[in-house]
Amino acid sequence: MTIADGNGFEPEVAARLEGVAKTFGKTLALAPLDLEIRRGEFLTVLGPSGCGKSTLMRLLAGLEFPDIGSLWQGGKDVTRLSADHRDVALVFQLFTLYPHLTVLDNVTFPLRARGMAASEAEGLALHWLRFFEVDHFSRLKPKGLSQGDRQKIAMARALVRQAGLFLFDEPFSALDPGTRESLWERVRMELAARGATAILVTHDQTEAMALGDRLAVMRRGQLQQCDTPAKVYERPANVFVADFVGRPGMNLLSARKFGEWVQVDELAMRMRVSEGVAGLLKQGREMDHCLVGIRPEWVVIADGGVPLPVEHVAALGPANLLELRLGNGLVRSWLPSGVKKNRGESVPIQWMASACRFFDGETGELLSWKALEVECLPGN
Amino acid sequence: MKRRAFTWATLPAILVAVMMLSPVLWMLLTSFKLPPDTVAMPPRFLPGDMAPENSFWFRGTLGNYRHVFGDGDSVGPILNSLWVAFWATLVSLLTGSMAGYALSRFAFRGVHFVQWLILGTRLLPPLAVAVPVSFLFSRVGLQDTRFGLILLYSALNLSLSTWMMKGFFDEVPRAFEEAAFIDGYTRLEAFFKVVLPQVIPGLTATSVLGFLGAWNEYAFALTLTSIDAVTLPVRVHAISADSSSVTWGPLAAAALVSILPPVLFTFFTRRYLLRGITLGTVKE
Repeated sequence: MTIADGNGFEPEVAARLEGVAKTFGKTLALAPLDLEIRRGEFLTVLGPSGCGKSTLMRLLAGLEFPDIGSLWQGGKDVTRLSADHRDVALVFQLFTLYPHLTVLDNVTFPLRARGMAASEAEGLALHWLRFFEVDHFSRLKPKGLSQGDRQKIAMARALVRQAGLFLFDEPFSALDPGTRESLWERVRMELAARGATAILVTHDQTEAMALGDRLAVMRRGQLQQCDTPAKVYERPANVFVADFVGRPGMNLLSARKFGEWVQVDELAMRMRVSEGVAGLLKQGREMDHCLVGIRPEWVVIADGGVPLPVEHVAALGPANLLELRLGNGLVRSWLPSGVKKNRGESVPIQWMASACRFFDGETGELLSWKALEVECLPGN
Repeated sequence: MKRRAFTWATLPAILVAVMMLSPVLWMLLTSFKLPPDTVAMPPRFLPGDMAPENSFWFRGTLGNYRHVFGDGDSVGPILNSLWVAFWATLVSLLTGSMAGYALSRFAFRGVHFVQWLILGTRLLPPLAVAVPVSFLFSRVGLQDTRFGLILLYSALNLSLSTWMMKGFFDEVPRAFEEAAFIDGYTRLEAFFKVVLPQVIPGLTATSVLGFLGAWNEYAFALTLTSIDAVTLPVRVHAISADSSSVTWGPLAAAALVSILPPVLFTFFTRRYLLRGITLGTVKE
């Protein structure tokens, strides 16, 4: 059954936030937020520190309660339900293990709360300790174990449960990237095999994009965009998302619109745009200033392009990041690793019309404009 | 372990230690002396069977201890003191740690007022309330009862134990309790299973101070007890008044017995005590 029954129970929805907002004193931690987490989904929440992502996590876990709005989990209103009554497992970034319990007792701890027999709980716990290759620590206290091992044990303590919602608050951020990736691979496979729902909060956009079925980008307590990582990457909802998602972020070039042409400032290049439906509905307001967004990989070096001087080349392994000077800013592009460019050398660049995104110069919101053609102006 | 060589820097420490311990030494020696030796001048320092005129030696006796534990009416007070100090420590520890936890974790309305109210009871000289307490106790039948003393000492200790425990709870990150909530435990379960085990050094330090307070208390015990609930400090003082002259021997023996429990208690908990006192200054 996929449609809501009489009680409003929607089997495909694991959790839902309706207008949930939270303030601490006078600080707005979370602006009214609507979000639906689907069953079996891996949602990543990305944002800089202080963007409200941890507050979101704590609200979902029942460690904080919203000022307004309501929270639903598994078809139940859990807005005022405390953490011990919610079916949620959470792995923190720090202070993850109980220092006075052995590793094994740490992992059985949530099972014992639910009244599982000691022998059964220990069997299960050992299975998950073995899964993360930390079972040889089972009789030790966490003190003296490395941060990496502690986090693995904390993850075992979460996975030992059959929780309706798994929450991860940057659990592996203290580990080196290689270990982190292999751990995530195993955790993600396990969660997928169970059909479990999980939310990962992170400020690492590579991790967020790689792991998430959907990616929610937050800033200053406000949800900026929530969509598949590919969609977020290709059509960022505003300039913040455009810059924050992707490494390096999208090139954002200041531009002006004259009639149906958009002219990039200080660049001898212009684009003819159609404003789409929004253009037809437009009520006389003539957009003057706008931003042209273009991903570095779409900025190509081609004969007949507009020449720009090389500012810096950063060797990143598979490809080199090429930074070109444009007025006071930079245009980033990629160079194949074999190609050499020197500082000050002139490089002709160009891009395809389909790669261009346009943002409102004042609000920074994505516009529905479509570039139809790109014209490099002669005689520059 | 390698033995440290003597350095002159330890000399002041040795001097201070001798000064602090000399009354205890005097007590120890006196407790084994017969009445004439206790007041002999110059003092006699070593037990032995030598000629009385040799000023350095005295004849040892266990009679003073026999007096304390036998016919000297001191066994009752010893048991009273143990009983009262034990329960007063336990009660103030339990209530103080819960109150300290509440003050540490909940920002309820008026939390600061409550904090200062609790501390304020400490600012009062206890004897200021001796008369009203005595009046109250005789009205409700608590005069000369061990239960009454337990109540009173628990209350006197409560401000100290609450404030000390609040400090120890402040050091425990909330994340541990939050993890316990998520693992499915209630606040009370999390308190006992996760928070309390992490403040054992603090509990020990607090209980030592609470025990000392209750064990050594003299003024209230003197005014509130007469026969049934007399505690050891009151009894020790009374020994000196048992006869027309001061009986130094039994007095010293009783006093020595009275410092034994706190010494033992402190000795066996010293590891935790030190950690308890330094908690918060040294981070892992």
